[in-house]
Amino acid sequence: MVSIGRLVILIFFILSFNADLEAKIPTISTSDFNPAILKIEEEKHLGRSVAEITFTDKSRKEFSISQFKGKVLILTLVYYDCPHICPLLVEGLFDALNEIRDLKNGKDYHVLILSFNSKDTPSKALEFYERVFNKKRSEVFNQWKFATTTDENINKLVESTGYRFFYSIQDGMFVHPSVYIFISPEGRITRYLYGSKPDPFNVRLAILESMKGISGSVSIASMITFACYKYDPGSRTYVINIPLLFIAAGIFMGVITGLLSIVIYVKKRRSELLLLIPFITFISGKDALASDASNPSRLWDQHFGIYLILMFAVWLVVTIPLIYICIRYRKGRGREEGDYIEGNSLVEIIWTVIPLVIVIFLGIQTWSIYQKFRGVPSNAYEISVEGFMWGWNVTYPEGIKGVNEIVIPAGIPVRISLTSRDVLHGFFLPDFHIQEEAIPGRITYLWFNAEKPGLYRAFCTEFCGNGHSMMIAKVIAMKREDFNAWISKAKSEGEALPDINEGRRLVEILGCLGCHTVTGEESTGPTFKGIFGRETRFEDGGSMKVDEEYIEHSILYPSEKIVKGYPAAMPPYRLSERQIYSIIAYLKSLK
Amino acid sequence: MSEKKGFSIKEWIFTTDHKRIAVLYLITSLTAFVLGLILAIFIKAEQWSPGMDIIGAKTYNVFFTIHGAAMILWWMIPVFTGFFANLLIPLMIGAKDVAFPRLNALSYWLFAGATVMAVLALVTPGRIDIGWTGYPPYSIITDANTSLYVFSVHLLGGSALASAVNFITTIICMRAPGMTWGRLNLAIWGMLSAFIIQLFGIPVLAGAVTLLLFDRYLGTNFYNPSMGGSPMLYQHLFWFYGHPAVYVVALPAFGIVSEIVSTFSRKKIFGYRSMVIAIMSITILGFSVWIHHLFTKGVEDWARIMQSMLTILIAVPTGIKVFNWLGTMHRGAIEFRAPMLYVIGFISLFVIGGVTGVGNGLIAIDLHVHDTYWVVAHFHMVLSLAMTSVAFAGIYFWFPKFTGRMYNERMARLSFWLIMIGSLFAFIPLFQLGLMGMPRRYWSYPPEFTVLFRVTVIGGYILIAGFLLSVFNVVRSAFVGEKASDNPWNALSLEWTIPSPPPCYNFERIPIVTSGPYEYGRAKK
Repeated sequence: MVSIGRLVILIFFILSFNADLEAKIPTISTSDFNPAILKIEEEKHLGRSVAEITFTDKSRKEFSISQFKGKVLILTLVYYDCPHICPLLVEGLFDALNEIRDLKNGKDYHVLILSFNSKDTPSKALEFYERVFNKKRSEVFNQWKFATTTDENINKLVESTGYRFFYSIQDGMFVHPSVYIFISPEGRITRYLYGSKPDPFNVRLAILESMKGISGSVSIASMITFACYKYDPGSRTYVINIPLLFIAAGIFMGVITGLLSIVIYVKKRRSELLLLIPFITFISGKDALASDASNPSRLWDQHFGIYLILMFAVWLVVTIPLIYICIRYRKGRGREEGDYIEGNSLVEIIWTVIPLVIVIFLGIQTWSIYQKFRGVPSNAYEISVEGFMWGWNVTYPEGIKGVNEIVIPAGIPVRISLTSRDVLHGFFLPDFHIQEEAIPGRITYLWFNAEKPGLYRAFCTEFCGNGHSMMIAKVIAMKREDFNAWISKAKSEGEALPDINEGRRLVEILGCLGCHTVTGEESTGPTFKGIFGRETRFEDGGSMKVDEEYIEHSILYPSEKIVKGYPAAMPPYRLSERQIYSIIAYLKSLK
Repeated sequence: MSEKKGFSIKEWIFTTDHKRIAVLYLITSLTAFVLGLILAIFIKAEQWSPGMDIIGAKTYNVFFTIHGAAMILWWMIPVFTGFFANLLIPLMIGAKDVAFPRLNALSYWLFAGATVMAVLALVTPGRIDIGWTGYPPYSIITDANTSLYVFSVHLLGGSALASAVNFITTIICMRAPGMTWGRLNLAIWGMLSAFIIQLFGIPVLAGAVTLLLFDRYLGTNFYNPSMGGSPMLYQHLFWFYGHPAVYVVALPAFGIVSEIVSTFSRKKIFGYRSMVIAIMSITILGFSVWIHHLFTKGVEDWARIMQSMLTILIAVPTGIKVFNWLGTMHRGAIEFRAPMLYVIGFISLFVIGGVTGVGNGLIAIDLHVHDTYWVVAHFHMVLSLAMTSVAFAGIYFWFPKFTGRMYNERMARLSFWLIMIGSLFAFIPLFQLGLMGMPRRYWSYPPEFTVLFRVTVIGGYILIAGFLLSVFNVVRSAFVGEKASDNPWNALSLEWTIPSPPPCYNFERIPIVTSGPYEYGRAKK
């Protein structure tokens, strides 16, 4: 049902339209005034071109709207007899613009005060101007246009802007909205700002919004400020653009992280814009990491640094609000029940999307680095390693064999092909951030590059029984010349006689000392001290003096003759004759 | 029959009452938990210095095997899918019991049988030193009595499958009128997902260990590489269930956290719908990430990369849950009773466990940290700390409901602080050890790691003391605790509308549900 009030308004509207045909100004009785009829249908008019009209200045000069093209135009519609509102409207605009330091009248925008009362004359305009005139304001006010125009032009303008006003017969004055209309340099309506005391912040953003589209005329800082806000029609003000802010924060965090990780790692290593590399690879199809293919473990360091910083940030993002909430929202002091909130789709989307972005970012990065770890350079030196319970057999391409000691040339890539003789073992080089499983019946591989000569370690990472924690191999990286010398020496030694020092070395590197002591103390197995010639009893009841044959037999088939009182824990070691006799020579020396 | 007073062993053995079965589960799993802690005491003591301290390598291997099995298969999984599911599902959905009460009793007794089998494995010759994962070929060639391991997994699997069928049916068919899917407690959603995982995953695990048994005793060659088998097959099958098993623990735990956070913040769960979506997406994603346990084990590169991406993707729904808990607490009226303390501790520490999980999932990083102490630290942070904290939070929270008595608040708080402080010292240095290259399951270690290991030993003992104090509190309060009222927390969920402890038939009349369980702070009309 149409309300009576509206009906009355409608009737008045029609009547007054007919009665005051000459002036073509709608009139209304304020007693029935409904503010809704002044409402500008913004969505209909925003983005439309403003009508091209001419008007007369207070100094009786002719102007047209198109003369303001190229600058933002702030259009304020008033009538000059207005007792209160219109002067306030003009003053309010002045005060707001006065606060905005980086945008200048005449340079960035113009202000046009136009009367919608066709009966107003330039002399009225001058009168109005003088009414709001004040010495302080004169300089800027002089540049403002206080104008009047004809009925025809007013109608055109009103039609194109959606502006509405009425003449209230009862009060003898006009009823009109307090609005500033922002017109872009191309002559399109970009924003309506309401209220007679506009917030300088909103005015500035409205001007910036109008300026959008013309390059060079606005500073980058201003554009960034503008991008962070969007107009909210509900509250009729500019509010923070939350999703955009979060995206910006995410990007910011990413950039900071990148910079930090660069700062951290540049000092130690060559500068790498690791953060961007996955994207470069993705976009250009070129291998942006090619320069680092010689040593992926450097990339690992940077990747891990980025990961760590990001994850620390995530932890802070959870923990700091958690602490704050626990302090702020304690029960008590009048707070007995929580607020009734079901959820908030926007924030839920935000905390889905941001982790997703982080995860995708890390995922792409890890992918491209992983490929470096798997792609073996063609010049790699290749060594075969076979895991057994519990040690590592090493075979060099020159035919040399070794146990638990891997000698490699420093500075060139080394590929290790892995397999296992018995159960699963894991070959892990922590210094080079790489490991791979040694699987019986299969050959797997890994590669690394020891840039500096030195001593490194290889652990077994797959649980393989009692000796698992003894299964540690030495990795000795030598300079190229030293390595070559070592190779030729080892070749000739292959046929050499047993050596007591070699025996001691083998006992140490094979992990024998994990179960046998050389000091006479008890351990998992019998002590080596004085073992040679010792009268020994066995689990099967027999006994004998330990001799060369028994030691050789016990190394090759340890589970056959178990010394009484000790577990059958020792695995067989398939050593060469020379190695066994070297060990025997060493054991003989332990008196 | 509920009128009968006094204690009768026969009644407990032949009971089909879900609340009593829940208590039986709790007793069994708390016992296993204490056993696991005692083994941990030995393991940590052995880590005091390199070489032998108190136990030899073989015993150490047996101890960490039983520690892992007890903590995962007898404590974490049963306490959530046995104790909490039995106690809460019928009460929260407004049912008089589960759909198949006798099958429910069978589930428990199969579980009890598995426990006996496990104890046998401890005392008979050929003690199990194969790790709780039991990888072949080691588990085939060692002298450990693998058959007991396999049979107890079979019994556990049978028990879990029967439970899964039973509870899924109960949740679908026996909800009270008005208990729509949108009004279900999040704990129920979590348990439903857990049982779906059990239903799909356990048959695979059972198959994997059965083949192990055949290889060991019948001379088949499924895992024997020299006869064309593959030892990696076992790992694929094992982790196809083994990884989702983590979510069997985690999803009900997440649900319980939601209950407690909402109740003690006096506020509706923030984003109920997204919580449910997150639970379901974790359920589905959980089945497609098992290869991250095999990242360094000769798997095809494309499979590693694909599953690396899927693994880190799980961080997203998990993050949603964490943020929704924060959202629930925000603008609430938070009361810091013991369950809430445990849950707040859980959130903070679970985030550490979670973000280090992302590290494991990132394939390049995993090349280093795989099978090192980093991984040990990660899963202890998640299981030992976060999930066990939730288990105790839940036990304390529903303690007045299932016993009719109140736990000792001061003891619970002391235990909480011991757990929090102990865990930081026990596990944070392990991350560092992992990065320094220390592999897991090492009886001895290179001497330069001694200091860090000693910190973790001391922290570990504080942590164990905290846990034992909580166990003691639970046991003691069950007998001598103060009498509790029917609804000491003023909670709105259905189980708090009935007497404590609930009568055998739960609800005198099946309730008609008119609103969800979290309507705190809604303006009274």
